[in-house]
Amino acid sequence: MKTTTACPLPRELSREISLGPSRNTRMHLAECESCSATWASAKHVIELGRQLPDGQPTTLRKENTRSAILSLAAKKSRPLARSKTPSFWIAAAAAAIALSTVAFFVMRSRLDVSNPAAQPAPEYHATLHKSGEATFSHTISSSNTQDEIVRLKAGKVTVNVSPLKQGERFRVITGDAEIEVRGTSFEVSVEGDSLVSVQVLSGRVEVRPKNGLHKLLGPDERWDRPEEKLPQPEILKEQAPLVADEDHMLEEAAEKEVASNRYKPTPREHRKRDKKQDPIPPEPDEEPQAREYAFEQGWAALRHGQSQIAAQHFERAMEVAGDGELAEDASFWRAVAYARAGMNTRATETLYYYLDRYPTSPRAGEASTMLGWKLFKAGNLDKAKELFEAAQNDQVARVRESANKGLKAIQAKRSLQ
Amino acid sequence: MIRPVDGAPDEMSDEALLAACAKGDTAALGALFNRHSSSVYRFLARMSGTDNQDLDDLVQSTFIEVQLSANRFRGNASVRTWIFSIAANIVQHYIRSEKRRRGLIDAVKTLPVREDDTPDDVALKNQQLKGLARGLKALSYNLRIVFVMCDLEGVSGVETARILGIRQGTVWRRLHDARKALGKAIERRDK
Repeated sequence: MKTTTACPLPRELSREISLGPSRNTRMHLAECESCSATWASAKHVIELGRQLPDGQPTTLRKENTRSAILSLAAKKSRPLARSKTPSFWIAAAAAAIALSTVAFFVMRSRLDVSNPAAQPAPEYHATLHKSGEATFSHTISSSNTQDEIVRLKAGKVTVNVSPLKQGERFRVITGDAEIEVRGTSFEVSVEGDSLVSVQVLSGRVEVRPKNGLHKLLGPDERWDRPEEKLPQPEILKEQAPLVADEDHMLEEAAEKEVASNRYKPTPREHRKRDKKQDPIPPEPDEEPQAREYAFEQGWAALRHGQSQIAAQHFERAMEVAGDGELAEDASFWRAVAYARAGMNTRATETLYYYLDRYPTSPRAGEASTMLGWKLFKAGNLDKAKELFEAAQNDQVARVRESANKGLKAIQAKRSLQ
Repeated sequence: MIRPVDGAPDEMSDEALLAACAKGDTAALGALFNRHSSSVYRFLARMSGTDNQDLDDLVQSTFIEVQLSANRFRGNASVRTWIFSIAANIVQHYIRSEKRRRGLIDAVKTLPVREDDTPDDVALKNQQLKGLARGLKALSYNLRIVFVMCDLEGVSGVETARILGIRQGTVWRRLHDARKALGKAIERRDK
């Protein structure tokens, strides 16, 4: 079919496929079968391309990659531009790598893979020295021969680890923590299957308590088990907050629940804590462990007053929890954490999100009141009133009381205006 | 030691985080990872055609390089696009190596299926996706990078040209060639 306008150049057509057609192109496409077919085919390719697998790993795999990156980055970190290495050494290193790769494949091809005896024995990287009585096992994971694990149940051991290659791991696991190592010497002490301390002699070690924050230790640095916080006495009752500070009341109450461990776990959380906590792999289902771990990390951070970090952990827990109950809990605690961190904008946003997402949650009244006070402070009295009214019939007396105070405060403020 | 960056990492801009990275701040690198790892994983998966352990290694190398090169960021493109350019260099070496023989994407077999798709639609779509995955793998690096960046990751032509050091016209031409080749790859699969 003859067209009234000339066909655009391929690169012009391509550009307009990305940016949208101009009026002329639209007219041209209506009459040119060839260009219109090119257009449709390209759009189809793009649409299909976006459905290709996106390679997203499991949360644990991603966490492992993240840990490896941070640990390597800490090692390699250099503020200035890279020092210039003579090209000779680069070439020599490349040649050495090439030779060793060839040697590796030649050796491997000569091994009789059908005969297990001919398989190379897994290589241990660590030497362990007991200090007195110590109960431990030293194994290489059967599923991944690059994963060497010391399971320490009690006592003290000094560990010397030879430098690890890319992809190799060495870990000391206790009942409540995991210590990841990259070529180092350190002492680790455990009581009753619970990690007590880690003293690094050389190199770097990452300590990952199950209920605490990860810490990367350098030479001569030490990690000690934090002392359990005692429940705070009810001193705040004597210093009843003024109306202007009312928004902190619920946050403090929430925080006190955490600090004093009086937070009543939901049946799901209860089940979770009843489970024997043993981080030793293999875990058949990685995701639940990962999201609960992130949630617990958040909780631990909140308990230690690190609200901002807690919020990030809760955020991660939400990301991996999908639509489950844990996501609901994490969403609430994320908002509390942001509020405690003094990040009012984020706190307001996350409270709105929580209320939109979980309007029938048992904590909706609490969130509503918290948000009401934030908006009251910001001068948005109409919206604050709505929120307080929504929480007026909450089943928790403390929440009802706070909502009523909020309504009275709005009335008082309006009478002054 | 991991030390906190100045300000809350989640409230800092990508550029500020990168500047902190340039000073050796691993917490800032962690924040950048949290923010961009999903798109880097996706970008690398589509560029390399792998979704296994190699992908983790590629992501790891990318972020390590981000840390090492942070002081060379000039703000010519967004940080995300700049990270893609680093990932692209890394994956280029990977593609050249023998590793690319392993780990063909078989995951297309388990692609999510829309409920309104009939079994025939599903089979056809899977065929097309397989064709596309193979076609993408067969594309030259130059064509693949513009297709993945512009069409799959939504990076603008201007930024793509800037980051790859080519003219905009070249980007559009390569994109045209890539789409055409991929269209043919899908058609071949249909027949």
